[in-house]
Amino acid sequence: MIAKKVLLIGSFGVGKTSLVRRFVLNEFSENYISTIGVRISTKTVVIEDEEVKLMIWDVAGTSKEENVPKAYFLGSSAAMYVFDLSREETYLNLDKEIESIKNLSGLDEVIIVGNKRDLLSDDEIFEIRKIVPVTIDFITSAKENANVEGSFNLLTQQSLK
Amino acid sequence: MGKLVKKFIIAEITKLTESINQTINDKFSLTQILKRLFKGKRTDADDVLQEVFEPVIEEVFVIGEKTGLLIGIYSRGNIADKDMVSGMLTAIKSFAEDAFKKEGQDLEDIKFETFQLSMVNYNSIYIATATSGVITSEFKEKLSDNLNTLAEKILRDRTHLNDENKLNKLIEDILILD
Repeated sequence: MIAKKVLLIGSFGVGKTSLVRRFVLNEFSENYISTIGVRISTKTVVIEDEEVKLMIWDVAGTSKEENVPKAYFLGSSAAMYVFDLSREETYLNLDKEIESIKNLSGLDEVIIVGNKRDLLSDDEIFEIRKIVPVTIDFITSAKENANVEGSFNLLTQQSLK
Repeated sequence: MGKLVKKFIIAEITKLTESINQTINDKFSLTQILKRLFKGKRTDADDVLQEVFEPVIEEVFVIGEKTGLLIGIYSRGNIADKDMVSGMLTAIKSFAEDAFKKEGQDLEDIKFETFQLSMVNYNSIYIATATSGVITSEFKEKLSDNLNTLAEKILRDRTHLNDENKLNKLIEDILILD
């Protein structure tokens, strides 16, 4: 079985942990994330007949803003950036955030996910797509289990590239 | 409740006393006295402590330095999710090194209850060992030598990094059976 480290990044409160909870059930205690800024979960997925064990590093915030150790970003095979569709401050500087993550991790691509779809209407989401400075790959709702599996499947596929 | 605790403590102290007495008796036999005449710097206290609280390697993790991915393992107990443990160890290590960073310094030891967790960095991997008991300088030196031998073998023959069973056997041969 192949094992891959993947990152889940985004500002505090955007719903990263809820997405992981939807995707995997096994996880470490709540305390870890507030203490050292990361929670690690594992999930085995099968992609194109290949079993892949994902080690998901759910990183609280980005290195620049929140003093997250740079080492958390090293050695990862893929990354997903999550923002909150209902909070403008989480996506206005998205292009700079993504650039910073690419520099820290050495990755060429980062999957962009707008979460909390259940809090907005279709029109509001259409407007947000116009404001966000990068292309959004998935609009998800951890609460309603919308697009969660799809976004993690893409993350897995990217980790195999 | 108080009586129960008292009873438990008395029973444990009795066991400990018996063990220490047995060790002292053994150590003061004629053969042992003669042996001690020719031994190095170890004190009698060291001898007794080591016999009573013998150091034991409980767990060994060979982990990718940056990825935190588990490459090989030896474990006496049952670890619920060894991959998650190796990831968390790597995160804690990175966190501590970042928080108290001074150039060229790494997190080497973590102590909790009767366990001591030691981490040694090598090129692209690090080896974490959890030991219990009283860690004497002699045990530490031997462990350090064996860890260096293990790392050298892994890095010389990189097939160990992709074959968990082969690496697990190597860990056992060098650190546990030796």
